[in-house]
Amino acid sequence: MERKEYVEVIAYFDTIGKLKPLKIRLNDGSSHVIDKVYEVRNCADLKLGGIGVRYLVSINNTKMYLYLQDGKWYMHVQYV
Amino acid sequence: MRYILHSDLNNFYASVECLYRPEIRNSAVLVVGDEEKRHGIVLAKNYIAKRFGVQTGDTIWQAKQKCTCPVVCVPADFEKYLKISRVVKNIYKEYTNFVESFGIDEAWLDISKIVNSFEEAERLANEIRVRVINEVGLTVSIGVSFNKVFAKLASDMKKPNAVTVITTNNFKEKVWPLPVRDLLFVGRRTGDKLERYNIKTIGDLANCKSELLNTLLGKNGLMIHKFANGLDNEPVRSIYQVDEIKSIGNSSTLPYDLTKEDEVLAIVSSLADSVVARMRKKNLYASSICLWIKDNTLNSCDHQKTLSVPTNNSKQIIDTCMQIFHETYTWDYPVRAVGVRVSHLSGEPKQYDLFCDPKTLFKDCNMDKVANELKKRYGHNVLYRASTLAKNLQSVKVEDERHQIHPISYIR
Repeated sequence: MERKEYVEVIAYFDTIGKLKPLKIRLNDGSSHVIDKVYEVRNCADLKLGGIGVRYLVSINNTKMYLYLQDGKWYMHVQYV
Repeated sequence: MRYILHSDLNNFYASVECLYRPEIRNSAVLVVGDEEKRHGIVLAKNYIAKRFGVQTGDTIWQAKQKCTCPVVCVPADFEKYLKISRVVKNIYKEYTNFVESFGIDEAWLDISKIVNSFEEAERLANEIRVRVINEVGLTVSIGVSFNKVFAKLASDMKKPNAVTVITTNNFKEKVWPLPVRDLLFVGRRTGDKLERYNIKTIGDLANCKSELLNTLLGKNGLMIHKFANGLDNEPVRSIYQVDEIKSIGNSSTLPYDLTKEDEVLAIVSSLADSVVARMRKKNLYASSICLWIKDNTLNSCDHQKTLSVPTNNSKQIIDTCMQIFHETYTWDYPVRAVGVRVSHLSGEPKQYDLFCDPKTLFKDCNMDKVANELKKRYGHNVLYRASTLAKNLQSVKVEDERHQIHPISYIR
């Protein structure tokens, strides 16, 4: 099963207002630097609900999705 | 040649609810009004509920009885629907400036400037369809045709998530065999009338003599005759086009039936206050005041009065409404719903009534201004009329224009 885990994000805004997430902090307190943002697109989260922007990022050489929905950032996490 | 798209979001309210709560996607989903406020009917349903024969307008218990599977009732959240509707319409606007909304979930797009054939138009329609699924997670049915009426008809032909094309060459085969009631502007009454003359399909209507339709239905008859023949040339409105406001109104179904006149006065006052706030925002004055009353047998009637001088003063509007109420309502049944509407709108009157007392008039106007300013700054609920407090009617929420989601008229 998957659920949304809301995360803290440090982001960079350029002069035209475009934002780029730089670092995330998970609920367990660990921080991770985002190495690269591969793709940014408006997207519906069909799995866990809602619409927003989906960032395909790489953290520690692993590609993953980071979602921005209604001003809040989250990731999909597995749970049992 | 014009290329018009009509796009229709499938089961819009229910689909949005499923989008935000994927776990309910496999149940029968009913979007319902507030039962406590006596709005307890089905406003929208998903395909699963539709399969059990649930219809929009069914009461909640009726709908639940029809479904033999788990049913999820979700209260309507119009703010959310408006937000999603805006996101979808922004996608449309990336293609053309000619986007005309028809209610919250439908829109026409004129793409004549960017495509040159029906094949290209179909390709573009599919691109939009796929984008709406990916970006918003909703399915959309798109009709492609050479006029607005046929485009709308086409979007209804295949659902959900499909594109249907009606061209100048195939409209006789595709459109004419359809029942005449499927045509825009052929409602229950017109349909009955036409069927009495054995006009059953859109083809029958198209081949009918226009003189007969003129005698039967007047100018509307001529209009639907043109529609059936594919001669509708109504343009798709540009997003920059601002329509002139013809009337402003608010109505409310009450949590309990009213049996006394002072209760009606309390409700009329709240409705008039909200109407006046909207008039002031647009700097409009009205010379026609209309009161609409529905009794608890669901019979409704409206009556109006014309003023000699246009006004935007709430006291005058309330007094006029109550005068109408006195003169027309006989209290055969208790009152279930009340509406106040003003029309014949104009700018500030240049000449006031010779016999009115200007001091009182300006006092009243200033009071409205102060009340409006307070509400604007601190929210709608900061100020109540004392009459609503006495009757415990302040909970009756008077919606403002953000909640306008009904389709606007096709003919303007």
